[in-house]
Amino acid sequence: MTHLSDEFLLAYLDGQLEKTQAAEVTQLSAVNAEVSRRIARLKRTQAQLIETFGAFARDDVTVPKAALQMGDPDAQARPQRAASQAVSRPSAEVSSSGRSPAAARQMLFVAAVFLGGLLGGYGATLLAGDPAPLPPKDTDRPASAVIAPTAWPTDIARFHSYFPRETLTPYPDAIANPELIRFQLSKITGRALTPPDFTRQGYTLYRGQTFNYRQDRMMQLTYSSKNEPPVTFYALPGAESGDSAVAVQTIGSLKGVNWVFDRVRFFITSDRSEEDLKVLAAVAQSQMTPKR
Amino acid sequence: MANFGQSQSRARDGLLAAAPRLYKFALAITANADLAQALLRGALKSLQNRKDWRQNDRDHLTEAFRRIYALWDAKLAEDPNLQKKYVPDARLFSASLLKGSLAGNAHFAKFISSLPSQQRAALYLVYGEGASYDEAADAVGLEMLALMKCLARGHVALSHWLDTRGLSEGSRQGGLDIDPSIIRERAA
Repeated sequence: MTHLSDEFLLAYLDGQLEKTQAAEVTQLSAVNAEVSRRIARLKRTQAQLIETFGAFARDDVTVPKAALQMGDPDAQARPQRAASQAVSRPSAEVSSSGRSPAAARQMLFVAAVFLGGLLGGYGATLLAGDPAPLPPKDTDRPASAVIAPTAWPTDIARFHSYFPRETLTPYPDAIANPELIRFQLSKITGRALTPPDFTRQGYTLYRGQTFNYRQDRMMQLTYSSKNEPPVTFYALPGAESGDSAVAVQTIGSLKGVNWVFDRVRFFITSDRSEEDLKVLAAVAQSQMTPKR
Repeated sequence: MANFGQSQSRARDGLLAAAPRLYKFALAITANADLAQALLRGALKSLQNRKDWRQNDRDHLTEAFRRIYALWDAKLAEDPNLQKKYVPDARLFSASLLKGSLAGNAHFAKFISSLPSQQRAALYLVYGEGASYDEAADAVGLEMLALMKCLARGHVALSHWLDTRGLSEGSRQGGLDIDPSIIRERAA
């Protein structure tokens, strides 16, 4: 943990780290002069920013009345927009009193088509009677109905199938800093988790990404190897039904292993054998002992 | 219907009460009073039918910030040269800076106004509003890690600015060191 990024140290100073992570940084800064010096430097800029933006936030400000008009907020912007459109399209400028007959015919035609469509469509709904009620939106349903414990590995496997192999190979801008990934993983799962280390299996962590999964966030970690196909690891919070052991999942050509521990769901997938995936799961399980 | 009317009126009052905070966020993004007014108007209009909106609810406030920033994004998409047309107004920041340790330093106000709008918005939310990284990332439409990079770049730029003017040491001696717990308290 000696190669800490500025981002991670900043998260420490800004009070954004989990308690255990923050305690580790505090301990490290006490014994590592370089880390201590970098923290002191960031502290100075942090203090200056708090002073500057804090004063700006506290300052009394008079909001112009025009900005508080909720009725038609675009009313003032329209003349400007109209003016800029007139500049960009001078040939389109037509005064209301001097519209050409061709333009009038065009407008009549558009109005007739619109009216026809409106009457036709609405008439059809009248003849068809009341439509069936729409199903409730995902966000309106109770959480238990949305996160079905049996369905989530299938969901994630389907989601994963949208990633072509070439997107799972290293690229220069990938966020590969393990500390930042660890920070993000802990934020998402609510547990002080460390990304699994598959170095002994020939894999290097090279990217961490977050995605939305229904009402939750989900972390995707991708590992690359010189000789083997990439491995993708998913972690997400939830699962009401308690812990579950490692289970193998096969959806189409995609194989994966999933398990639940301490209300965190895990899923590993790769184009490797079932046994290999189970080994990776065992390695991850042994390393990721969630601490509250 | 009466209840609906009452709650809508309460929400409207809440929005008006929060308007100064929202306006300052819009100023932090744009560094321009005219643009900030336009963003605030748009955000208030889009929120005016939210009868459950409460100014003391952090989620609701974050949503309002998000809408303001989304409007800014939309304006930039509509006119990529928008920022070139409007010169950032450093005076907007100098009023508050005059009370700080860099009192009277117009160059510092200029430095703040010259930061990229997204970076200034993120810095304002975290250090001015005491927002958490989650809230700030949500408001300015960034992934958490991207927000962290954005904030870190702001620190690096400021550090460089202070160094080149020989102000780093002076700031430190001026007793500017602030305990991280202050941030946590502000966020709470």
